[in-house]
Amino acid sequence: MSEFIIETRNLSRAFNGTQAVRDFNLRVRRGSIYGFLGRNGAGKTTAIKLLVGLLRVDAGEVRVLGKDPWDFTVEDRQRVGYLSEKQTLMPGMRVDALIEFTSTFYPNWDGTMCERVLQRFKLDPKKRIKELSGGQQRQVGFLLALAQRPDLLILDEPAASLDAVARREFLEEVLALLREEGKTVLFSSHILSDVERIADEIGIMAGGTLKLSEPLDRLKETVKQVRFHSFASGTDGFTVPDAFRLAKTPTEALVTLRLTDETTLPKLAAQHRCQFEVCHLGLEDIFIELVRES
Amino acid sequence: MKTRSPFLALVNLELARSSTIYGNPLAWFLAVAVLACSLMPALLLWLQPANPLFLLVHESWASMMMAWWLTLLIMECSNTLLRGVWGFLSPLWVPPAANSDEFLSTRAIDRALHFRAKTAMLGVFIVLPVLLNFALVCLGARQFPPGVASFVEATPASQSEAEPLAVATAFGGTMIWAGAAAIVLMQGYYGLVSRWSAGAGRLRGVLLACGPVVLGLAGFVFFRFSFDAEHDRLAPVVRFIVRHWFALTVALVALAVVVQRFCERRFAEQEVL
Repeated sequence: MSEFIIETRNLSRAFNGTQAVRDFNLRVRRGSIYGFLGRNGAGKTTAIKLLVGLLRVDAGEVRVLGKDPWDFTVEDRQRVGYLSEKQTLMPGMRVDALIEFTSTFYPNWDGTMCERVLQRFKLDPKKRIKELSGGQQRQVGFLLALAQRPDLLILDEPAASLDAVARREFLEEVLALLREEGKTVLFSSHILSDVERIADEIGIMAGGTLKLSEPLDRLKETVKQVRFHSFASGTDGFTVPDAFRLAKTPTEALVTLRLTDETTLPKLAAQHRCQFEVCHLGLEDIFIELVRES
Repeated sequence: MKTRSPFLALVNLELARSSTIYGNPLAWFLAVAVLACSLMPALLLWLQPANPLFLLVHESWASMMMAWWLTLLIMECSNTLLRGVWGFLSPLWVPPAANSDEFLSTRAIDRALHFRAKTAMLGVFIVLPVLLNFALVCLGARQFPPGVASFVEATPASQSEAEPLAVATAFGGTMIWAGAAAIVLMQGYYGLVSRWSAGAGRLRGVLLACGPVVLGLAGFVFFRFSFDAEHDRLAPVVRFIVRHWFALTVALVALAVVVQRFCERRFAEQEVL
């Protein structure tokens, strides 16, 4: 069994000549919570749809649970839970009828958990879907994906329309799922505080490609913003190889870069005859620095 | 909790999702009208065998109903099939909010089974009245009025004895059978072209239009042939269909099964959204 539950290699997909995803290389470890970030239009939803077999790849290779999702059997689908970005449930159905319908297709359906989450989210099972608010419908969608006991849970913007309390409850449910051995969660979000709270690995997408994918701790440890100042002869000609972002004024330069070698900064400062100071970045700052130029 | 088989759950779901059909007064009216039309020829011929005007009005009305019904069915088939098993942009109009395709397509649901459930639902509630119509007209034509029976049982040598009324009734049965066959053929056509229509707006429009246009042309040619020709040119075909209505119904059902399996295979190759 591979260490990775999701593996893609040079995945590409275009729509009417527009490349939505290109050379997309993603690896998600079993048992991890993977936070998938990117600006609007970065290609996250298309990538997720390729991962769940809703779309076919133009080029490249995708393996989810060791198989191409396009060839998923019913048994494979029972192992993948999915909540889409704009998921619409059957509006005329009652919540309990929808739960009963969905449970028909899952032999491992967890009715006890379903009840528990219903109560936790304070959802009335007798109400019709159309009578629920947008956030409550999202909670029902999440509940349906969770109660099937999937090995892999893929959530596209799960917390988008949830209030702060519901978001916290959602995060706790995700964490509860992860307590079971071998369960994996991949979720995309714009709410970086949520991602920072629960994700242990981060992928940042921009312009259809995965710009970065690594453990959150390592990311925060190595990606720094450095302010170079007090230049002896101005900032003209000041460059930093492999910097994520470089902004210059005549007197100082602001650089976002990955610091893997402690001697890099003193060397740069000596070379350009200037001083420097390092600023630590939170996930939101790192994200903005990485994708702003894209 | 799991009391139903997946197939029954899907049939039940499609019934609920297709509330536009079952909750639509026009659709109910058409379904009842088609069935009522089935019963009326026999009844009218029984009560008014010598009143050609009454029967002519009825036949015109029945044809109009059938035309409407077939148009709706073909649009239903084309929309469903061109968009794949999950598509449900009904001619009776489903608001976008009611479209839960993505949810269904990412559950552990066998696509072929879902499509079969949908077809079964359509078949039982929509095509069955058409086939009932066909059977009743044919039985009526053969059993009730002596004039019709003599036409149906006539040999080519004696076909000049056939009465115009008898021909009209038997012709009604022929039309109904042809209409049911057209639905199945349209399903096959849209299944065939679905691969090329996916994601291509203009091509999809052309492919969508081709089916009804070809069917309309075929219908036009058929009507021209019917009205221009002497009865003795049309009579053998009509007589054959009415005489062998049961075998032809069985053949139609067999064709429907083959087309269904073909479409299921085509959908397995299609993107859902």
